[in-house]
Amino acid sequence: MSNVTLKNIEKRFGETVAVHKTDLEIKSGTFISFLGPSGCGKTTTLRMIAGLLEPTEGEILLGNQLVFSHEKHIATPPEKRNIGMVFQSYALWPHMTVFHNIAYPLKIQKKSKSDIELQVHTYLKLVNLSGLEKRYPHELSGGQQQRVALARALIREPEVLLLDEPLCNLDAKLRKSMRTEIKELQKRLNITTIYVTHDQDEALTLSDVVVLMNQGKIEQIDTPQNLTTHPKTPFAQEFLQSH
Amino acid sequence: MLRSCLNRLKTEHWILGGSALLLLYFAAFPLLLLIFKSISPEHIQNYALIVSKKSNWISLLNTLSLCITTTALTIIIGLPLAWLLYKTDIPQKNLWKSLFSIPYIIPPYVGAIAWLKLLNPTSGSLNLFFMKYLHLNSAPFQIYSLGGAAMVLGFFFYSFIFLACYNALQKMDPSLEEAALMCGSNRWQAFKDITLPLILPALMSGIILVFIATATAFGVPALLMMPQRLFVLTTRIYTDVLNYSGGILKASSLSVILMIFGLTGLWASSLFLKNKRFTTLSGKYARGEPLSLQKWKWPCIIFLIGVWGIMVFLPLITIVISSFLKIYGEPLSFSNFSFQKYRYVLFELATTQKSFLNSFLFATLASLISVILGALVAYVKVKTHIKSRHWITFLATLPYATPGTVVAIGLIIAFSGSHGLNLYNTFWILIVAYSVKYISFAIQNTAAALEQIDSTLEESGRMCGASWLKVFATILVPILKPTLIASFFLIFMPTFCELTMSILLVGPKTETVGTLLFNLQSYDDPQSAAVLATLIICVILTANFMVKKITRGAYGV
Repeated sequence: MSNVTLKNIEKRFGETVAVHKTDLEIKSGTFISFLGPSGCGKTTTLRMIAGLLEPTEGEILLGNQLVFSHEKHIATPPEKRNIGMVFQSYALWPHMTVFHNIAYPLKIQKKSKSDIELQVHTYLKLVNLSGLEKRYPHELSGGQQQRVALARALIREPEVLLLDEPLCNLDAKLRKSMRTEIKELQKRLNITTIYVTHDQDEALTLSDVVVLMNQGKIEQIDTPQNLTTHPKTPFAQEFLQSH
Repeated sequence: MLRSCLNRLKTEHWILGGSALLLLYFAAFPLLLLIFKSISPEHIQNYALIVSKKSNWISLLNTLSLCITTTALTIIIGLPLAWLLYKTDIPQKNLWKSLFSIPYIIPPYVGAIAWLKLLNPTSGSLNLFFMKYLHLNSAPFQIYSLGGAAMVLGFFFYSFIFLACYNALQKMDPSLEEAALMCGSNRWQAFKDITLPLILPALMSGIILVFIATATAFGVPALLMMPQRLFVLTTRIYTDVLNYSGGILKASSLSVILMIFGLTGLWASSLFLKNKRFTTLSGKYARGEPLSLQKWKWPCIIFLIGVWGIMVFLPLITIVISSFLKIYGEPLSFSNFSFQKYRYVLFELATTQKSFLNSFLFATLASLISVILGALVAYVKVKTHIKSRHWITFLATLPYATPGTVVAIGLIIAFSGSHGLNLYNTFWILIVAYSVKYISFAIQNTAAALEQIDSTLEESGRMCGASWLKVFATILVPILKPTLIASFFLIFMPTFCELTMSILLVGPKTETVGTLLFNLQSYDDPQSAAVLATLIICVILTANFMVKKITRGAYGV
């Protein structure tokens, strides 16, 4: 069963086309990466799935539910899509403690205090942050901030997890260990994950499927292995060699 | 010993030290003198006298309620406006931002004059209109009241809140709000839980600014409340100085009380801005996706037009129209249109030309002095390691945080001859007042620009054989030129139409446009006042246009 379906999705900003008409099916439980140079449309596509950006054409389905259709004038707002997202800047709220940052989605759902307490501690443990719940974001290291952002995105138990260049603000060593952690977490929760990156190492080691993008178009959709051994377009060949 | 010390001092020490001393003598000394004089043994009993007088308590109470009403009004207008113009996809955002920022540069007393024409209980045209069409027996609005003054001040000072919130929204990482949406909150919850708490420090400092500006406003409460014998602290001080011999000393004790308002506010706002939990600035961010208004687009546009029309356009056009009326009070028609009043005001009324010339001269000189001294003090602040530099900049900005009325009283006490220099009734006292009050604009802008200039630029100049003065003049000044010019106009605009200090400092030969306008409006000739107000608006808008042009939109509104 496919979990995220893009049909004929296109995004224009005035005259310029950021994402050309694109079709994509993402199967449930897959770890998929959008890989490409900056400006290739990978973040734009991610934001359209999130609902933060409206496509100018096409349809988006989450499971069986139509969340966007240009023709039928359907545009489900992001908060009703049940998608978790980790932003490039983490977007942790500086005026809230770690606990309140992570608890926020449950508060919106109006869960009871004891439920919230219990669940936040479960997720703190999951991302190895137990004991830090009273800290403020600016008192955390980059890696710790990253984990808070992950826990906050996961606590709603979303159907899909979106990660927008989550590791690019970390130093090289931390990046490697966070990579493994994210992958393990994804396997454990078996959650459909879309990962945006310009770093081919990250994309190739983490993903089940890689979507290689360039200038708003998909160049190739393939497993990491096939992509490296059989790049189909000149761009794919060059991009994968250049690193 | 002393000689060898003096020999080691170089040109830069003399110039920088001299400008610091000059500034301290004219800016800090009068205010400190005012405080010490008021608590000296011979005058301390004035405080007891002030406390015992019921009228003083009433004016304090009036000041507070005027402040609270005005501040509430400015929040209600300014905050939603900032959100609407920054966060949504309303068309022509930048145009709207400029239009709504106009009250930031126009003196509020111009608004008071306009609203008097519209809402005067006996002849105000809006009141007459409502009486005629709603069949009322009496005027529905009473502009001569605390509420009237609060409304007029609110229609000007909302721009402080608006600009403060707009800038804060601009600095906020939009993904903070998007993250809330991805956590399942709707737009309103995201605003309430995330955006509002994060712009709260900016909002609070805006509120404090409005509070101080209202507490220290003179023109509006003088025009709208004094006729009803409603006094606030500033107008009480003014009448005390005017009415009693020796009133200046009583007024000085009252001034110290008013000064406490200003300084407490400044201290409070600096506390808010220091809190690290509210730091949202960590790099450059895109504007984020604007909220699509869809079916609310037209209601919002109509709302903007309506609000701007009432708050900004209506008073300005009222002034302009009434300046062209042949017979004041007659209805608007082509036959009632003339340039008669302009001819009278510009060529026949003896005081006009003189006061225009005075204001131009005083404002130009004061702006020049402030820009030059301000640049030197900014240099001391940013580029030297003199231990006392923070004190110097603090004392230099003291007059800005002090109500204009108090600065004027301090200058009168300090420079009336009993402490050496006598500037009373000369034009110098006005220039000193304008310079010390607004020099902090120049210091802040120049310091910010200097911080961007790497010291190696200066050092390489020195290595090429140029003296410090040569480097300052040929390297720093050219780089700083846009900032210096902008500072000049930013000081020129408020000083050209200054009223609060001028009204206490003008002598028979030094009347300014502000004081002339105030006298025309309060005593004999409101229509000439309209002509003068129109001319003032033109001068200010031209100056603003020039700043915007020269700095390519970085300064001005």
